[in-house]
Amino acid sequence: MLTYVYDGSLEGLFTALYEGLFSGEEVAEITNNRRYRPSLFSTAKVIATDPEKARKLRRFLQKRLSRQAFQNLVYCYLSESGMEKTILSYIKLLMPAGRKAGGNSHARSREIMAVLGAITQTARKVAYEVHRFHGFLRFRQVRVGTWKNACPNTCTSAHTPDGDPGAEVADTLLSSCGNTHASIDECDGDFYYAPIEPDHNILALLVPHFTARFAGQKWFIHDRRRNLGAYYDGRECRLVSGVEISDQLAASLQGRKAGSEDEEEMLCRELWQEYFTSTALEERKNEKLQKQHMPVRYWKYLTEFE
Amino acid sequence: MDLLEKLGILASAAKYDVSCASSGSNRKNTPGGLGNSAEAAMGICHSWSADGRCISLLKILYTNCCSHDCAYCINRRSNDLPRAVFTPEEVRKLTIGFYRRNYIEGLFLSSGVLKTADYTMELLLRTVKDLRLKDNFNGYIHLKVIPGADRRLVREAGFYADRLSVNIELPSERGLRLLAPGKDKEAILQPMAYINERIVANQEEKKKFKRAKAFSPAGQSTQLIVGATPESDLQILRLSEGLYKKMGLKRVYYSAFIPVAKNPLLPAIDTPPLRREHRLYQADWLLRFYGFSADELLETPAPFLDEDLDPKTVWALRNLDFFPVEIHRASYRMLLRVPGIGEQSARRIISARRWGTLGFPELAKLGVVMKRARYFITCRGSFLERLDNEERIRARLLAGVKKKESLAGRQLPLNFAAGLESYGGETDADLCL
Repeated sequence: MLTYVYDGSLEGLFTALYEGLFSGEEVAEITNNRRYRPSLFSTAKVIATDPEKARKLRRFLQKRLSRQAFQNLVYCYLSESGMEKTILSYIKLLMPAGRKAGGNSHARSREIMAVLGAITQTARKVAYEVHRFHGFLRFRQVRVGTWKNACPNTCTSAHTPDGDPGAEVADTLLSSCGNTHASIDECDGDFYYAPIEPDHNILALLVPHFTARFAGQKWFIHDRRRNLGAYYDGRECRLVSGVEISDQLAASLQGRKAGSEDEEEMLCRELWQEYFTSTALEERKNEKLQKQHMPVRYWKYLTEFE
Repeated sequence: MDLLEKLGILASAAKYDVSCASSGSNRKNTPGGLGNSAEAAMGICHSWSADGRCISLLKILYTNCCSHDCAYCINRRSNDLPRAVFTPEEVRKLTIGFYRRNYIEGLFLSSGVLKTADYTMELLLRTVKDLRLKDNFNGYIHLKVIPGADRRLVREAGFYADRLSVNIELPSERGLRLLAPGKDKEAILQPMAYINERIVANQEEKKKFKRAKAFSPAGQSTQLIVGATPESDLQILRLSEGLYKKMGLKRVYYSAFIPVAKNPLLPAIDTPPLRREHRLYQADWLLRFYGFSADELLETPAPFLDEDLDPKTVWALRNLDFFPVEIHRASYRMLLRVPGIGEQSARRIISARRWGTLGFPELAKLGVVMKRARYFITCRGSFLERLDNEERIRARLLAGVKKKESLAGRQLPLNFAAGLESYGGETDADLCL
């Protein structure tokens, strides 16, 4: 049993998939180095990320697949739910050898259905979470001195709002332009900070919506589970990793008053909480329905439940 | 009075309005501006309040002072409760502050009638205009038209709002005369017809001139209170049907009557008729997306919808001679009429049956609700369960309902419509109308 271990990047995954297709090895599992646990029955092979191979595979996929199908693959990668092996089986089905393999037997069509079903279902879950966070994300206005450290490691992403999300995200995630470790401290004055903890790695997918909507304000979306950030400075958006926030901000996120927020922000939050309670109809109270739409795991950063 | 207190008063005064949609518009952000409502696919809900209704707009009244004395309304003149009036600046501040923090999709602004209809409408218009022009706000704005306001004001409002609406409230003229002495049918229907006329004309203009300004791009909607007056469901559905067909409305909202006042003219009820409201929404969907007409769903001898079974199942039981429907041959329109098959599963059946035959397990996988559909369909001529007697099918379906209810402690499925709307309902509406 052979397990491929890649570095967790999309480029790394594409390299591993490329190897899986062309090395002739029987791959039992593909996993990233964070998730990988050595086991008695399998041998691990570390896949070194190779931009050239990744580029080739991507070109092949974009040629063979519809936009939607390619987007589904990228979404499956972002789901971080161990879909790598399924993606490999899917690509194998696309290859000429794969198409010939089993003829048109019933078993084969069931296999195709299973692989395809798993991929679309996972992609749909990711897309649904993106949709949810368009609503559930909450900004708070903060002052300077918010960051300890954040290193931009991915390139500027130029977004066209009605472009091709799959290819766009792949562009963003695949273009590496060196790790220049620098902290973001040029954000002077007011800007808006939003902490999130999504199940899937959807930060890059949230960017187009929020850049289109809040083009005139500076903001930072912080995935606290993965320590990733999207920083928009009023002109363009950058994805950064290794984000560390200041103690002050961390304290205020935990609901403790830190004095870092100004009056206006506090008032706005209070007003929203007032609105939230006033708009509910006592006569139709139905908390079960409320939780069904808005699962409790998303409540952590919702201003209305502070 | 400070802003917080005002907001509390004017938000709870507006909460009886059920409209929540924020989709269907196409306003894009402007350079240096704030916000958009270009979200094409579906509306975004930002939160859900404790009653399970979604919050997508900041829904407030400009003022709850009102010169009318409508018996069903909490804000009626004779009711003793704290009153407040916003200023345009306050509404703008709230909207922008909330929008920037991603609390809301936009503003829903309605009002009680302060002094005269024109005076109130002017205030509303000024607020909305300032939001658009001074604050560069491009989020969604749903504006109520005050019945009786001057046409010119309505016309101007249409250029700044994404959706206009006039509430009918009571589904018959008699009801209005009885409970809303200050209002009459004409004052409500006239602006509605005018808005529709403008929307249609605007669509023509846009074809000719690329830069023609959009007039109420997300259409218009209205609301009916259910259960305050004795109208039957058939009357209500006929009215909705007329509004969809003749006035080009995007949505009719139904609001179960909540007794906010003791009045001999009003029915004495303890809880709002939520189940009835739910069935009306289902019937409304059948009117708009499933090709049913009001007179098919209900007949004069029994003009109320069945509370235990959904309207489509009831229709099917009354028309058993249309069934069984053969899955492999039926047209899309006929598939839509089968209980347990919706738009999506009907489309999936059509595309799947081209590639091979379907069995019952495959249908379940395509999303058909087999517990209802099983009595009404055949696959390659064979039944899953053959019961050709209306009473027996009904008994069987009801047994399922009762079992579920006893398990769930008879919890009502509330506000089905709001949920649906947030996940695509409104989009479908835009396609069909």
